[in-house]
Amino acid sequence: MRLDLYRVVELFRKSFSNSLSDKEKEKLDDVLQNTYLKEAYDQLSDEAFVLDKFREFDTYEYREAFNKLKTFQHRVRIHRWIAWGSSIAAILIMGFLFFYPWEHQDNVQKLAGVTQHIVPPGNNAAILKLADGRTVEIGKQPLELEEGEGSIVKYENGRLSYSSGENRAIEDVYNELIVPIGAECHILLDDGTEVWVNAGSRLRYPVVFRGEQRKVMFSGEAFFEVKKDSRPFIVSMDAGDVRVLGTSFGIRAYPGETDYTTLVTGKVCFQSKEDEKVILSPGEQAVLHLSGKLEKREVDVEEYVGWKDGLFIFKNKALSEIMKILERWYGVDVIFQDEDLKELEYTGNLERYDSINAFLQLLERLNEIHYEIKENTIILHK
Amino acid sequence: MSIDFDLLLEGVNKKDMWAWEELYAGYYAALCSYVNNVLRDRDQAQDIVQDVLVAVWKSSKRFGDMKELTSYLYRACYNNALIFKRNIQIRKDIEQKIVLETEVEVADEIFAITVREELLRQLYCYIKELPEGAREIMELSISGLSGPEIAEKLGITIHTVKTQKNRSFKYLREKLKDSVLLFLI
Repeated sequence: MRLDLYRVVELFRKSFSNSLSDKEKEKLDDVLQNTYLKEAYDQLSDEAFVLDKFREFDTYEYREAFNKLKTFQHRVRIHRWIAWGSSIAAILIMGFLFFYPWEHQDNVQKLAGVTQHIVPPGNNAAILKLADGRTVEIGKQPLELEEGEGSIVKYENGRLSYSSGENRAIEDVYNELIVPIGAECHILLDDGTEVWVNAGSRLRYPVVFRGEQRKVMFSGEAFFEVKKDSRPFIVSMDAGDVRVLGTSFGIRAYPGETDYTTLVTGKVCFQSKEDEKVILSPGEQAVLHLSGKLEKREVDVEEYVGWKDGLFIFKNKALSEIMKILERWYGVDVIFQDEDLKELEYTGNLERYDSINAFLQLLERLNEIHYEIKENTIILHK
Repeated sequence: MSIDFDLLLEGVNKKDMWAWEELYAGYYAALCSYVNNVLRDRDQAQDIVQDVLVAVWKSSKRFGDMKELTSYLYRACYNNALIFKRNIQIRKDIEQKIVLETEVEVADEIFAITVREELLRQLYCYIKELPEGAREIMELSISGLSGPEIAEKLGITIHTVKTQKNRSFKYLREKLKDSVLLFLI
């Protein structure tokens, strides 16, 4: 007997939920002629058996296994890339440290602890500005409050969420999320769209989306997973708008810096304030230079959105650019005593939730750069 | 959390970490229990499941839909469990070449077990969706507490525990009515 797994699974599902048609009933009777399948069916009908199996499932913890997979991810990436440094030795050390940072961390921290203090990574924190102008600090305690006649705002397990009940507010009620330097925040908007907001960003949004389009105002860096909906979702920034239906994409739009919109899935349209448009497909990025020039290019999206999954991914990135990103996340100021250090390029992955010291130690090991930490200032020199 | 189905599959194919975390959350325990049926060795079962998942992760294989992915995972785990059984002595070789493609004839017995485990896996995923009170009782009874113990712990009557438990099972079965294509991960 050759049966399709899903054919049988579906018959079982329907049988257990009492939704079999007469024809399917016959088919199931047929299937149950097989003694093994009959036994499986009987076991599934037995609640005590099912509970026992659930109990067994509970004993297998997937997280540990998944974390191991993550280490493979780093290894593969390092192999795949041609690391770029100023010497072969530097490349080797960098690859090694980038992918084994946790094994070295104890050492590194002990060493560093003597002379320097550790700068820990950013954490989950933000300031929520309510419609009436009150501000609420979020990050430490769970929170629940009502906003705009019947919308529930909740913060728990690291995520801020909005949900409106039956009462739809008549007027637009806006809230603003301010994520300071050295912090991040994850938010679920009322329409089901999720946004991971990175350090030094602001997001302004209605508590409930009304009208024909969903519009939010944004500056800084964020990853959007927009819920599919007939109403377009618009991210409005200083330099232009991103318009989408349902898709996921990253935006980096800090004031005074080049803007990047990176598409992961779906389709988006970026429109600059000068009404220039580009349409992006997955893997493409719109770059709006400070000069006002708008450019479309293909990129490795992970380099731009990897932070959301806990990694900084750098490819041939100038140290000055790397430090700009780290400054925001670790809440530090970086001073280059030697200008030419800024031009050094690096390739590799960094764990976002490591202390910054791991990275600085690495730079030092490359024999090119030394560093000092004074409170929240990091000085780099030759 | 229910996720857009296509998005998840695409994420798995593209090796996106968030999608792989969902995959682990939805399949790891069920696959371990499945392999454990064959091997009766919990640690080995976990190793084999991890080897298979990592091998899929490293391969360039793409899946057309969730059914294909699911059947593939069961088959690969089963094949590797069998190979392990045959070659207990040369465990090392397995690590070096994980067999994903070999078609091993699935006997009636293992087919029935696969059906059973897949249904259990789906039911297990639905527990998360139970209404809060019912879920708590369900989780406590999975953790091994008896009816009276749960009643005492939650300060409710044993009768309430029983009705809630029955309702939970009914709810879980009810969920099976939804299209098989939408099953959660």
